[in-house]
Amino acid sequence: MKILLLIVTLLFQVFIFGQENSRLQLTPLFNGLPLELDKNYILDDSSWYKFSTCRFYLSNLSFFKEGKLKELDNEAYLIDLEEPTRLFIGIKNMQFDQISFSIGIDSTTNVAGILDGALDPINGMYWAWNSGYINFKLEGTSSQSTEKNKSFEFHLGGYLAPYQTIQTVNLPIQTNSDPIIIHVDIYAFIRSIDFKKSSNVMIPGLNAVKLSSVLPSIFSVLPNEN
Amino acid sequence: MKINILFFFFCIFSIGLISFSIQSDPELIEFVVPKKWPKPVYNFAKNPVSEEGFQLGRKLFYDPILSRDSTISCASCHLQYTGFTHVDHAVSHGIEGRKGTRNSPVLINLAWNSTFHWDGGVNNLEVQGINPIKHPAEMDNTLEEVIHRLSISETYPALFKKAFGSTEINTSTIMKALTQYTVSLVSSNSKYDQVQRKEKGIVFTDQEKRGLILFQAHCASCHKEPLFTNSFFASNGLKIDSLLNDVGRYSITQQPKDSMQFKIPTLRNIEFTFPYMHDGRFRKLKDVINYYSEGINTKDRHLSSQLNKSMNFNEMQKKDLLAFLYTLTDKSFLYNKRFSFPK
Ligand code: HEC
Ligand code: HEC
Repeated sequence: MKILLLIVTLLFQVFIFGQENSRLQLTPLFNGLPLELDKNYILDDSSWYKFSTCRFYLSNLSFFKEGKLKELDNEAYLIDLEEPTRLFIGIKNMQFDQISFSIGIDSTTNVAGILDGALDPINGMYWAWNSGYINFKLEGTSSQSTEKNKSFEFHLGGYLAPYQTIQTVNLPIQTNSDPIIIHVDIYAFIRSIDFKKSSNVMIPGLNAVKLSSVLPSIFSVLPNEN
Repeated sequence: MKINILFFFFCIFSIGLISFSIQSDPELIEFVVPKKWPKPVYNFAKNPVSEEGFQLGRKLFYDPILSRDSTISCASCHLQYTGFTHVDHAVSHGIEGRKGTRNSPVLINLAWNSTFHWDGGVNNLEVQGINPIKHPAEMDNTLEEVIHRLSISETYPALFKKAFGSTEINTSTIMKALTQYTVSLVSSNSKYDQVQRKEKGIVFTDQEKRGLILFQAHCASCHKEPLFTNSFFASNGLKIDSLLNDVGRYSITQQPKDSMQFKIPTLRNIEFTFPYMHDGRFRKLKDVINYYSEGINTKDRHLSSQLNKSMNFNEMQKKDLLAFLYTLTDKSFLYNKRFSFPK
């Protein structure tokens, strides 16, 4: 009897803990430097940038080995620079040489009604009047902003044709480090913005699509360092 | 050894929990689709309506606790006996008398709607409720505050447990409860329905019959039977109100073709849902009929093509049409005690 209980306990533990034992770590950067909120970054051209919010969704995480899909994770992850625990994604222990994921939330999920957890509208990543998730949110202040108070706000989202904003990223993985570090350098994104035209994008539409198309290029994984 | 004993108690505890939750399963209510009506759009599988969930949603609907200063409930703008619209107000009034920009629509047969709001911006009934709660000109509250208030209230945690199996209250359970109530607001017992069902002794008068024929010729392409909407968007040519500057569906899709297109509303209970249109510009149903008859600018570039020939009804035709529209009144819905303020 005792042994049986022991086995059940062990099985239980395996069930709970056994599946996730590796991690992805998202590391936000700005021009190669660690991205910290409310810190002033000055570039060579003496423009400055201060970020107050950097938050985005990753979903449809897929793992490939030699081109074959090994694992598909249907979970949506809310990555939030403000909450360090949200920079990690637990993954199953397995062999893979490529991962792909979506930046943002797919259209099926966008019309699925009320959802929990990372997808709870309380997380501030949801438009109520134009139902749908904000895929990517970056807010702050900058010398480049044309607003009086120098603020900028980019809330990128929209799932309706022709203004879909969800993006796919493919990353080759040539490292066996744990956690696997994914760099998210928002510099390229910032550089793609024409601040004179708009320091704010807060609704789905053409502007949101254009800016979103830059997002895949900000993700990278460095090969083994040692 | 110790661990095993702990585990043993854990097992007993979980079995207890499971049997307890089986015992108090909410009592499911089957959603009845009226004969010959299309299938509902709402996905009941994800949020099956139960008696407990419905009653909780009804209580929330009538409770001003949802608004920042606890003065306004959903029912303040959606009154049952006027088909759940804000009677007499052209645009809705929220807390501290703040005016919105649109007329509150009726809440009738929502299970068949594929989009919500006059511009169709809301894509699922379950997420609609976030709008009034957060809107500065409506309840001006936050989801965090609503959850907090409900969680510390004396009555709500137990009601959420009955409906959803847990005293923990979150956005999802609040929205699901509200939805269980609003999705149940089905009106299918007007004279029109009784005639369709060939109920004994119920027939259209000659005037109503003539009205129906006019309706089918001029209105039904948009206000399609039996729901009296085809769920699409259209422009019936209303001139833009330069103060409100409401461009309708365009603000959602950013597509020029959607400019000035509004959701085609149901006409059920239309006798009591005045004022009419997205900005409540017509106070009387007669005014609406006069507008369709001779008020439409048929050159308006946004106007939907079904309306580009003037109808020019004569007085009798107008009266006939009106008589038919009155057959869409469903008193058993407007005065259904099950939907009214919970005592
Ligand atoms: C201050 C007035 C006001 C309050 C309070 C209010 N509503 Fe509304 N409601 C409106 C207006 C106005 C609209 C239309 C909005 C639009 O088209 O942009 C609307 C639309 C709706 C719709 C969509 C109907 C359709 O067919 O498109 C539903 C459902 C609804 N409200 C439910 C609720 C619920 C549930 C509550 C309480 C949580 C609530 N309302 C509180 C004014 C109000
Ligand atoms: C091309 C489609 C179309 C046709 C045809 C049409 N309507 Fe409408 N109707 C609409 C739209 C769209 C609205 C909402 C317009 C708005 O608020 O901007 C509306 C609104 C109404 C309203 C106000 C409903 C409310 O709740 O405020 C009434 C009443 C109405 N129509 C009656 C009629 C009648 C009667 C006819 C035939 C003579 C007719 N309609 C023909 C599209 C149409």
